[in-house]
Amino acid sequence: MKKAAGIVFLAFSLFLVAARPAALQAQSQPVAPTAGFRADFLADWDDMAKKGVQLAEAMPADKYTWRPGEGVRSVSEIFLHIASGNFGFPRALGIQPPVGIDPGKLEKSTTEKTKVVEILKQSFEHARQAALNTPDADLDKAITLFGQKSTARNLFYILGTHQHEHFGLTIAYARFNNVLPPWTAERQARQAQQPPKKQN
Amino acid sequence: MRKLILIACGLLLVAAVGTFAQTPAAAPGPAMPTSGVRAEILNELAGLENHVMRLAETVPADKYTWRPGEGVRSVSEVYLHIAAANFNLPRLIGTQPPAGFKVQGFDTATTDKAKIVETLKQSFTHLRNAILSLSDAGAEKPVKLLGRDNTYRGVMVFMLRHMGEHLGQSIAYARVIGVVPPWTEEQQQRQQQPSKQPPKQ
Repeated sequence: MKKAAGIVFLAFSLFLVAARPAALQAQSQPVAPTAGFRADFLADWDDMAKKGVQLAEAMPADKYTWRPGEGVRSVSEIFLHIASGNFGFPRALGIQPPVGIDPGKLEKSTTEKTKVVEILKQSFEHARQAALNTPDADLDKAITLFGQKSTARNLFYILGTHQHEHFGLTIAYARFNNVLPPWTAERQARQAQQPPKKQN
Repeated sequence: MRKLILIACGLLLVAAVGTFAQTPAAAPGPAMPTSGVRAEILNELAGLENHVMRLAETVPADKYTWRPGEGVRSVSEVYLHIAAANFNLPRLIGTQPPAGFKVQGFDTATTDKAKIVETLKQSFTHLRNAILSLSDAGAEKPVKLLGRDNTYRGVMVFMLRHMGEHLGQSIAYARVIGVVPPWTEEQQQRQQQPSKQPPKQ
């Protein structure tokens, strides 16, 4: 009987040990909103982040130093400028970039494709977490952005517009280098597989 | 005496009619919000409009047919694509496009710079008025966007993002054809000017 009680106690202890990290993880991961401003923002953000990383991966490594003219950002500089914004903007909400990342120095920190893609991925996730960790009730909270009075919600508007502008720029850069954006290539492949429409 | 009074009254009447005729009609549009969702969206829109319009005005007319490759939109087509979206997308938030507007073929309808700049201006006014016609509370209204459940606010966010992307595309086009965006040129000039501040010790 004593032995059986010992086994039960051991099993219960093991269960507690196994359950604790899962419970902690659940506590630290905020739930993605399904309605409201942040839901709208994140739906758009996730789509852009996916395409942005896809495009960075599709660009050949030897094109990362290409630029359209002197004094204009190169391919790597644009991708890292986007990453810099993703790490930098949330500071106005009190969310600091990961240790070792200085958004102000990121743009020219490397031209190596694998590093740029990794930093870009990490940065999109950082901004995503910033939105997840800003409760809806805090969106009207007053903040200072570029020295002017603003709100937390407005920061996300500006971040989204800024990133889409540079995303558009990278699409054009890709086109200049004969790189078809992967999602356009997928759409064209789908269209090519469809049987021709019957004529009336 | 009676004749003089009649003449004076007549002159007063003419003057009064003239004054009414000169008074501009009161603007019928709703007031510009100063805070809240629409104020923030309109502020973003104003920044985008400023850059799109200034870039469209700066790119030389003979570059409007330039395109980076076959099957990719030309300079004029990108600007007209922005204008088409400004006229067409507000349908989703309850504002119909102007009479006669057809989205099909809109971006290839002309390559004339003056016409395109004018069309862009009108399209931004259309979009702004569509947003102004809503209330902040109306931003939560449900609507389908690209086949998915969304809200009026989501549509407005989508409109800004779509425009931002095509502005970025236009900036890249401008750079390749040797045009510096006017706001970048101004920034460069400011940086080149000698500082009025005494040098720091």
